[in-house]
Amino acid sequence: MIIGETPLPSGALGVDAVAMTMRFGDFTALDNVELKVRPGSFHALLGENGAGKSTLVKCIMGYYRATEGDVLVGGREQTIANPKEAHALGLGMVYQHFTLVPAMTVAENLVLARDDVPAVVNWTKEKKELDAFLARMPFKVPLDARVSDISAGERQKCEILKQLYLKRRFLILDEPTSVLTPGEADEVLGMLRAMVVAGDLTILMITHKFREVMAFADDVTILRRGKLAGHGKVAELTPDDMARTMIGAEQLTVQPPRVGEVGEPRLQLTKLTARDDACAIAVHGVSLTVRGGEIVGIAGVSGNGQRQLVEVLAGQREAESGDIHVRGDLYLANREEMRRHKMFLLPEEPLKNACVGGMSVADNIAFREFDRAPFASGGWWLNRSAFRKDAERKIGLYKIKTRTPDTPISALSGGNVQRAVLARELGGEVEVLIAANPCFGLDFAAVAQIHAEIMAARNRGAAVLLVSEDLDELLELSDRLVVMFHGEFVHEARASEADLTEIGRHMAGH
Amino acid sequence: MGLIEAIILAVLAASTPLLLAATGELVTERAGVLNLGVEGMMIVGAACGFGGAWLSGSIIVGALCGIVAGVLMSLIFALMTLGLAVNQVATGLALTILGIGLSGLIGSRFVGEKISLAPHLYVPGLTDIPLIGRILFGEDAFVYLSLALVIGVWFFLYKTRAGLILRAAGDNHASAHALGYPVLRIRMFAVMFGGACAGLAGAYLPLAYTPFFIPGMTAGRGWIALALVVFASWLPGRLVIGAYLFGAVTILQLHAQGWGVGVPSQLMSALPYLATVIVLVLISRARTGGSTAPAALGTVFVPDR
Repeated sequence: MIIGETPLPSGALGVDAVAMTMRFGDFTALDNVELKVRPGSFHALLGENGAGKSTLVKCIMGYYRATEGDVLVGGREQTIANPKEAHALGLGMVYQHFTLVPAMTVAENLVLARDDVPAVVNWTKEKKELDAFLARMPFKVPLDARVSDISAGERQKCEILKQLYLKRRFLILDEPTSVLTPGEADEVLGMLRAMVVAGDLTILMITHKFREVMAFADDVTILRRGKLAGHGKVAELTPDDMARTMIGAEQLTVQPPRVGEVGEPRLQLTKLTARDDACAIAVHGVSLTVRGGEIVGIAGVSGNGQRQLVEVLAGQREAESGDIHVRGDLYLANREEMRRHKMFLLPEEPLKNACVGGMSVADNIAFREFDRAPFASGGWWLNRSAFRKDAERKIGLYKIKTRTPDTPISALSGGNVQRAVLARELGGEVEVLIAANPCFGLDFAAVAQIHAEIMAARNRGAAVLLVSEDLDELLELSDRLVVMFHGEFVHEARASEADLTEIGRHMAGH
Repeated sequence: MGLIEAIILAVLAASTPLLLAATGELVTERAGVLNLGVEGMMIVGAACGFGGAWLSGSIIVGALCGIVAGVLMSLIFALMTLGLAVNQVATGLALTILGIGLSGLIGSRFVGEKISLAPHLYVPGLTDIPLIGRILFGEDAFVYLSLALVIGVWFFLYKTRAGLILRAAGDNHASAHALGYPVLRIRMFAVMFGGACAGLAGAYLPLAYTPFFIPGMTAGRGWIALALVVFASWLPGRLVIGAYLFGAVTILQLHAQGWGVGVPSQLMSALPYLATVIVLVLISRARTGGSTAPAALGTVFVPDR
């Protein structure tokens, strides 16, 4: 800091971004965006994936150098060349993904984050100081526990505590509640809100959950495709107003209404047990029946065995014990059986779990049927033009945005990769569908289309098992809801009668 | 001198190069880098160490030559894996092959030459104590140095800021980077430390173990050192136990051959390596308690900006 200059005001800091433009080559990620965060306010930054929210905050934090535009901190223009300079000004950021080191204790992680730790660490003294610091904080975390042993909610609290420990006065939170149960989210945001009201802190929260915006934020700024789409006081807006501003004029696929009767049992899990990669029991003796014409949702905080359950059903992981029956037949999750039972999958992270990134869109769409007529003769001679014709038809039908059917699928956006998988999995007759976080990280248009397709499959009589970390999605689509905690099904309810607080409680294991 | 005493002295001597090399590799791996080139760095250290000592007539110069050679070898590895983000396993294997060739080239003119081994400590009174005197107070400097090094590494990893940062880089390089720590520079220093230790471990063989250089004299000790790090589950304390245990197996098989145990000598010679395999299998079966592998071990890190 220059001597003679008046220091920044103490307490909560205000930050303004003025006429921010950020170009990456030909692509304009931010176009003349304005953001005004008042000191001591809770500000929400809304926008779809790719709207430029992350780019904007990364420009403020000094990760990117904005092509044009200025950042004002505490009303004064600042050149922030790198994150360290942002930290020195009192700006901090909590990332969507945890930045704690899992093998270390909470105390080690907190000390690690500080710049001014002496070369030889006096742990007794540091611990005493940390205890004194924690006594002043609204959250409590176990200092001596390893981060890998504490829950996601506690980790998120640690991330936030770390920022407060570093005396940050302007905090950016990037989707801070995506890994929390609704109860934990309310607790964490409520405590932060209290600190904002007390005038100690200013918060800028990136989110897509309107509920949280309505409950905790004072102001909101909405971005769309790199441009400022709107801003205002939350009290004067409704979720509908905000959604319309976010999406713009784009037409969303209309979800078909829920019709049809529940049919015969299609998918039956009996006392299924599976281990995770570290050989610990991840799925613990679960039993479940999914009938035709019904969507059974599995709720739970990520890491409670959902992934391993889906991997067993997909044939990616061997079950330790227990059986799976499809239409009464023992099912061993190989390709032939999946084809015979018309069983299809929408796994999470489709580019990783359902595609071969380097192969073309057409090839990826053909994976299920490529060695059958009309795509192959005799099971080995492939008919490339049939691939292409089928792919072209499905690309049109499922609105997959790709330059050609021969483009490698890894070049497509997340939404279009998932559309291509959707085209492959739901393009024919479906009797059983397993979907895991099918809309994670996708934009409104893709989400609406995927939800509509899943509902349509159900209405045609498919048995659907939907595993999701997004409770809103589960409540919207499911007929029945099961809560998974520590590898077991701990609660079941009809989705229409489900009580959010009760489900949240079971998700947290109470 | 009793037989037991002789065996213990031999075990300590055989264990020291393992301990030195494994300590270096432990630090390297704690920073998230898997350098499989330990054997290569060791053998070049042995050739250069012997050359330095033979030309200068000084054991210390020889040891320094070994260290410098190990560091230079590790810098090749660092350039490839950290600078150019090449796969660490492939680079490490290539480094070993390069090292074996290079040591033959460097050492060819020293083959057949002989030097006097590093002197052993002699403290009047203490060293003369029966049974334990020679063991505790009559070793060469390398033995004491290797133990001091382990203690130093333990203190560094758990009690210093730099050690904390190094462990963070090895467990979650993205976090360390987000906190503003220079992951690649940290890893480079860790790799260099590993190289220095491996070079010294290699130099130990012709300077303090057998007073001459022969090509391939490391005889797989680099691989055993790698296994030791896993055996110790990345904890410096367990490394000492592991190294002496492996040293003991090596010596015992020699004595067993001498006693005429009715097992083919080839099989006995294979014992340390067999033990390595068995230990690795057992550890991967039962991964419980203590420290496990650094989470980012062997992964390439490319800063996003």
